[in-house]
Parts: sequence; structure tokens; C-alpha cells
Amino acid sequence: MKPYLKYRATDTTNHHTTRLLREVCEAPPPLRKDSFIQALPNRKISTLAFLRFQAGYIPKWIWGTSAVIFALALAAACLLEQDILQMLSAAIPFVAIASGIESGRSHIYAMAELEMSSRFSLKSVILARMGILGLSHLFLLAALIPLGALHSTAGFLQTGVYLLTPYLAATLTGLWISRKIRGKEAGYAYLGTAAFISGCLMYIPAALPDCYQMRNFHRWGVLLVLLAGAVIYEFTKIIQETEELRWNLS
Amino acid sequence: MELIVDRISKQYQNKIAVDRISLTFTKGIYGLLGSNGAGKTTFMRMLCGVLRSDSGTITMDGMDVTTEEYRSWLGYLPQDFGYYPEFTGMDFLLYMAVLKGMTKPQARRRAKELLELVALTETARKKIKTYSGGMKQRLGIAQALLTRPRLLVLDEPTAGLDPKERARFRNMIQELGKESIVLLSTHIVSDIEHIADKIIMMEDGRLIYQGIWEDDMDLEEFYLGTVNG
Repeated sequence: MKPYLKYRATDTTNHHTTRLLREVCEAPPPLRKDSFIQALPNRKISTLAFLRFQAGYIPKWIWGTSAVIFALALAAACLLEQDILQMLSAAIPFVAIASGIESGRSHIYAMAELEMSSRFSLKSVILARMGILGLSHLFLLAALIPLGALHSTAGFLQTGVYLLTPYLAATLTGLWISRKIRGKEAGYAYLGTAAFISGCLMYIPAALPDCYQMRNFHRWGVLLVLLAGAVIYEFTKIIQETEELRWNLS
Repeated sequence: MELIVDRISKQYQNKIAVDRISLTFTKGIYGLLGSNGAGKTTFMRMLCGVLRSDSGTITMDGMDVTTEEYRSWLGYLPQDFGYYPEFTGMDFLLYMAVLKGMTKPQARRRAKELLELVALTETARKKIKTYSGGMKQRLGIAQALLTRPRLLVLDEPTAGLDPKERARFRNMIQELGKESIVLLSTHIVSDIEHIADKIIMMEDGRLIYQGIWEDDMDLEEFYLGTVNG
């Protein structure tokens, strides 16, 4: 008996119809499936989705460092009655160093060649990660500056300059290290640099008690501008070198 | 589907790594043979747009190697590749899939298919650092297949694979060669003698032979004969 004769007209619910069709008309195996799929236009993820995705691949300890520093700053502001500005500026290099680490991560872990051959190239990956980190640091600084200003003798502008200067100094050295040291030893260099800058910021006020005085503020301003220029230069060099890598990869 | 390589060259200081190579590839499997330092890796890197040629052009169906569209057609397995330490096998494939422009649901679906294909489903959630050399290599092959590439470039793909894995890899490549251009390099002749439709030989950056593979050919002897002049 033919399978379709087993069913009465009243049985033709969706489920039965599907089963009946499966029994009567067996689908042939797919032919040239891959070439058909290859011929379809590729759906590309949006830039926003790409950025969101890249944010997920920034190591958790980098986000953790920012969170811990913010929490410590908050705790110090609430619990300590002393000036917290020096403490904040000494902690900032450990946040800033993340930019260097992220810009060099592809090279440290030998992912650069695979990333270069992808649709979103290595340059896009670096720009995305640096952009995400830069934005998150901006938010962190926007929270720390008022906190520092409220719990120190310095004003908002001064606090901003005192925090941004070590931030840019650590970012600059981090970017420089990521250009110069390609191996895993770069990790120690990043950490060492952050510790050195942090140590200097702890030591300098003892050696130069006047350094945070208003009369020396212009020196900090000049230093900040110079560092900002140098960071832009280093960042441009990193992007340029990503391009040059296409000429010299060996 | 046509990949045209037109007089490409690459020089590193005093060494000419690739010397004016011209080739036309159509669908099929191409075996690239050459001793260490013959210029195979440099040539393959140039085909993948990872390395720029000093002169000459590479186009696929009229699309230049430097374009995003060309890269979207490409699957590449480098000779050495790394991974971020926190990655599992699945993370690695998802990461590469998004870099290749796939949406997350597409990436997940395809990654599962490929993990099954390379027999890594069981270990997909394990960190790559716990994988053996062969498993890493299979994962590398899987990432190269993510976008169902029209051009598949595999640099020493059988390195680290055991004989069973090699056989499975050969079957997989044979299937892919029906729909795509597959170029695989090796210095182990037996890796390609049964699967390549065409053979390309390089020595000192130059193309010394290109031709159709014939069943009665003793490739090893032929290769040594060609290299030794």
C-alpha cells in the first residue's frame, strides 16, 4: 500500500503533512553545496558588532586592574583623611600600560600573520582594541579626576594634569615597548615600566616637595603636551609598522 | 574561478626570495614542492596578501590581492601560528570567524561543523595550550576553512599530523579541490603525490617546473632530478 493512502484527509495536520511529504518525496542529497554557498554574497558583521566582539577578547585582568584601581581610589577617598592625589597618580601607570600590551598582543602570541590574512586586518584589530581601551580609560579618568580633586588640595584642572601626565608617560613607553620588543618578554618590560613610573611618582614628591605647587604647574602642562604629542607619534608609528609588516614579514 | 600571478618578485636585502613567478590557477589541487629556503613560504604569503610583492600582480577573478574582497575568499594556514593563551579551540575558531567577517550565529554554526570535521568536537572547550601538535594543526586547518574559501593556501599542512590524520586530511583536501583552488606546500613528496592535480616546483625563488601530475610518475625521483638539473 502506498504510504500516502494510510492517511485520511482529516489527518492532514502540519505534522502529518510533513511526515507524508518526507515519506513520499525523499530529498535528494545536496549537489555542489559548497560552490552554491561560495557564490552567495557574504554577510559582513557591522563595525559596531566587530568592536563589541573585540572588547570581549581584551583580557579580563585588564578590566580588573581598572576596576581595582577605581575601587581602591574610592575606598581611599572614603576612609583616608590624607591627600589621595599622589596615590592615584602612582596607580595610573598600571592602567595605562594596557594600551601597550594590547597593541603588541598579536605579535607576542604569533597571531599577527593569521590576523593579517583576515577580512578585518591586523590594523583594524589594533585600532579597535586601542579605541575600546582608550574610551574605557577616559571614563575611568573622568571618575578619578573629580575624586582626586575633592580629596586633595589641587583643583580639577591640576588634578587632571597630575593624573594624565603619568597616564601618558606609561602609555608612551608601553607603545614604544610594543614596537621594539616582539616576544613574550615584552610582558615583563610593560610591568617593569609601570612599576618604575609609579615608583618615581611616589619618590619625587619626597625629593622635590614643591613639584605639586601651583608655581610649578606650567612645567607639568608642558610635559603633558610633549607626552601627548609623543603618544600620537608612537601610535602613528605602530599603525605604519603594521603596514610595513606587509613588506618585511620574515 | 581564476587566480593569476603575474611576474611577482620579492627580495630581502641581497637574497631574492621569489624571482618573477607567473602562474595561473584554476579549480583543483596544486602541490608546491621545494627544499627549505626555496621561497615557498614567501610565495604563499604573497598569495595571501600577508606580504607585499616588490613587483608584479596577483588577482583573483580580477580582484587584487590587497582588497578586502580577495581576503574574504581566502583561507590560509601559515607554517607557524599562535593563539591567545586564554583561547579554547571553539574560542579560536569564533575569533577567526569574526575577523573573517562572519556574524556570530554563522560563526558558531560553522565552527561546530568544522570541529566535527577535524575531530576536535570533544576537546572544543579545552584550552589550546593542552592540545597536542597534531590537534593544533587540525585546528589551524579548520580555521582556514571557516568561510568556505575559493582559494585555500596551506603552508606545510601535514606537519605534526600522524599517519591516520594525514590520510583524513588528504580526503578532506580532495573534496575541497573540487570547488576551490587549493595550494599546499610541503617538502615531503609523499604528502601530495596522491592528491595534487598539478605540481609546482620551486628552487632558489624560481619556478623550475609546473605540470600535471601523472599516476605513473615517481615524483620524488622527478623532483630530485629537476632540482639537480
